[in-house]
Amino acid sequence: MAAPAMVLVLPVLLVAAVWCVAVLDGVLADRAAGHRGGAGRSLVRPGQEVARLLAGQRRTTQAADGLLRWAGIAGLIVASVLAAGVVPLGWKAPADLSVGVVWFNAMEVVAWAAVWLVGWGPDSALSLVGGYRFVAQGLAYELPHMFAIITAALGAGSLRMSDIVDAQAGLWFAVWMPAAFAAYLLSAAAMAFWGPFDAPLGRDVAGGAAAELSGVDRLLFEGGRRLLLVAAAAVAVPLFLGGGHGPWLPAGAWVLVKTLAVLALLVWLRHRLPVVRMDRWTEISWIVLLPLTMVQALAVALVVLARGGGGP
Amino acid sequence: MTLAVLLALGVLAVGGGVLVFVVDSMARATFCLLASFIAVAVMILMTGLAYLGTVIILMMIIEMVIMAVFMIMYMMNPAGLMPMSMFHNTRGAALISGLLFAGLTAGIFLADWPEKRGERPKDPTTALGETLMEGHMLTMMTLGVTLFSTIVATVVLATGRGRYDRLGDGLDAAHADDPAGGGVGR
Amino acid sequence: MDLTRALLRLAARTPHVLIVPVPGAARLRMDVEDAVGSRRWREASGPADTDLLIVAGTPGPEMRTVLARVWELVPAPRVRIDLDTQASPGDIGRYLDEVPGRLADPLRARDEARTAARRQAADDVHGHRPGGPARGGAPAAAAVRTRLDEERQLLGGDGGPDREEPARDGEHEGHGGHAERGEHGGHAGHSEHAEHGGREGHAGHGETGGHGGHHGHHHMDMPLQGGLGMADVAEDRDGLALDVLNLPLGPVLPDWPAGLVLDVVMQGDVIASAEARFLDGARVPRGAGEFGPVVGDLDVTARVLAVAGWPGPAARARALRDRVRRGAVREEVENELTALVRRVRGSRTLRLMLRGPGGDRKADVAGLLESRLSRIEAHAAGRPTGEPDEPGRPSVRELGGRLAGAEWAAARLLIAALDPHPGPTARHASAGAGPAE
Repeated sequence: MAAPAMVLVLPVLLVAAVWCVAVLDGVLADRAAGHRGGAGRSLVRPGQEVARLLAGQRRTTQAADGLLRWAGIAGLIVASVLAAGVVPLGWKAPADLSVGVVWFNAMEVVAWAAVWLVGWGPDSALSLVGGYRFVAQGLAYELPHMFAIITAALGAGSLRMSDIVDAQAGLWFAVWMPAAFAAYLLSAAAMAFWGPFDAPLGRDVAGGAAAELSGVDRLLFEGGRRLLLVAAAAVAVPLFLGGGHGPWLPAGAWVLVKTLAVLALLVWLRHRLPVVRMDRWTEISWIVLLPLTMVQALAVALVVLARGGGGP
Repeated sequence: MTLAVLLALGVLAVGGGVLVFVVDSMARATFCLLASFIAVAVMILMTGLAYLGTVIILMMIIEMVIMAVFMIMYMMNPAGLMPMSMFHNTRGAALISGLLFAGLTAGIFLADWPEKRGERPKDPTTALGETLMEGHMLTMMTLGVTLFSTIVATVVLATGRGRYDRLGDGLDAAHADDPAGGGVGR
Repeated sequence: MDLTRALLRLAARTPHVLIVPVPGAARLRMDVEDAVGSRRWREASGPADTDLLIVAGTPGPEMRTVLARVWELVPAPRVRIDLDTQASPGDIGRYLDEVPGRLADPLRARDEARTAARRQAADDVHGHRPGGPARGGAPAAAAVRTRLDEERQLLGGDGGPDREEPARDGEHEGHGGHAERGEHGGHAGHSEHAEHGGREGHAGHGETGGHGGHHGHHHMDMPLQGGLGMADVAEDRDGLALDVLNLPLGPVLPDWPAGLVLDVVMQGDVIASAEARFLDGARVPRGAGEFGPVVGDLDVTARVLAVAGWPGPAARARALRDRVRRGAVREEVENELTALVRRVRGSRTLRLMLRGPGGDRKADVAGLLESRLSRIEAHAAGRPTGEPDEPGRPSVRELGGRLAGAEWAAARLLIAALDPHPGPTARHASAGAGPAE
């Protein structure tokens, strides 16, 4: 597929993946709550919620900083799409940057600014608390995340996504870098403030950063959040799960299957665990997860050196 | 075309910097500064230094968000709700900065820039890595460790309560004496 | 058929519901939760997210004012249902059945939006607000202050922000309408307030009131828009000098005890000090808190789990509660009760999130939850459950003291677990575990 065609296909795939996330989320929520049946209802539910937000009235609050709030919402969506641009759909990516790994990292930290801005904009106390919770969360997940993705790049000796995929022709990185893979999955949930890490939008802060959003604003914000989750799950595939490698199916299909598998895992994790409070998680992240990823990076570096030096 | 884009980015960078002082809201000032930094990073990307440009974007976003936290905490009028003027010595500062800007610009145009020697490396990222790590490995390692210890020392000096306050004189208390417990329990 | 009508019809089948319980109407609240849950409608996280506002019970005068302000915050399309304390599940079902039809009506939605806009137009009479960038429809400070003063008289509250009172310095009232010109499908603008209602609910002013406390009394001459004052700075729990925010929180918050208002002094999200009170003096009719042995425990467990962010088991606990209330005998539900208890006890993550800091008994939500779970387990096994843990439930006066120094998440969990509710005396004398009203 030529690059221009891929650029057009990517948004469609992203939206479809967001839809799948919403449907799966609904199904699992119903199952966790003990409701029987209604699978058909779960299929229609995302459409109903979207219609509700489209037809809803937008609102704002007194002394709100509308510009910053809009910048947050727009930034989240744009960054998610750009982050997904480096994922190889099959063998080639819409934009196969030579520094794809660092690019993904740069685009996902836009979420830090975005959620803080959305929490700040409405000039509302609990909304602000939600925004700050996300900054605390960011500080907690970012370093293990960076070490995890650098470990994958280290294993392949390159920052380019397609090189990392090529290096996994024999064995997936998730198999011999399990700590990095686990840290990456946790940070993927944390960066999209999803699942056990959705304290910034928590019920105990009345919706947190999204508390004062309604109508199209809310739709775009929630959509941007799920887009970021999809992008993070999609990037896990070339980094740790071998990209398009696999028997029988074409590479593009494998990428799709693997992305959906990672998304299913993340959605399941959301319903399996209660929300993690940042004042409890930060210590675990810095004292347990960070040394773990550093040791993992060291182990991978030793393996690479023993293999005869990884490098171009 | 490239020149036009570079000029536009330059205007954006300088404009962002100027806006930092014009807007009332500290939050807006922080993000104007971020816009300025990102414009500079895109300019670097356009010179072909992909890694440096991307890393600048990455670092600046994180740093500006953390700076926003501190700006809101310490500055007056962080939302700009009160039209407050926070300038001191306006004329003197404008004069000094104008002179400095003129001097630097003159220096840029009048300096004897060297001609390009040799070929552009095929992979600038690797070339950068090798330059930093090959000949100057020891320097880099020492720098890194020094920076890290400085940060740790600063935090230790700044914090009001140390290990002995939290864990008792023998460092053997069962639980740390903190108002809000952490996850690991120490 | 135009797009708006189609979207409204599609959306009306799954409204988000905000249930506002009134003290003394716990049975009604549970009936409403049951009815809403059986229709698979989601619960809203706040007024901005609400389509259907249900008032469960007959509110007193203070509560009525709060509800009026909350109603103003709800964007169109919206429906409000006020239920009498005597309403039966059949009545509730009938009202709820009408809701999708009312929500799907585009003419009604336009009317709602226009009503709100008319209120905002009254604010605009005085013109532009002083200073700051011009924004379409921003209300004048003067108009807002007038309304602020009215409300304070209504609620019998303190004076305006310019009058200095030691504890109330830097009071923030996030009042004031603010039209949003964002339209969709022909809706007009809508006036808002950044609060959930009156002085109750979260005031719309965080640390944006200004920082750096060396401003003395300057703020008295130059009020911010909306009559907001500049915040003062004080040392917080950890020794940092942070802004002080005086905030009345509640009573319209998700999973919050009915009628409870918490006047907190917050710095960041740490509560420096708090005072709890119940609206309308909180007269609770005798016997209002009498339920079966396990219903109250399940209710509190569901609430704690919901606040802890685990909606699945919370919904299961609520479903079991409703089944027991509707008369299911012990044998029918004992397996599910035991499974629920095992699930909640087995979650190490939950225990990590709930346990008090360093073995602090006073703030140990995990211990409080465990006592409830043991009682549920005992009931399921057929053993006698014993008296509820009375020393654990504080009076309203003590509740504020318990929360001092807690972060907001911890405070919410503690309130959910302690389950404060108004009563004639501090100790609740009923035989069963009375749930929160």
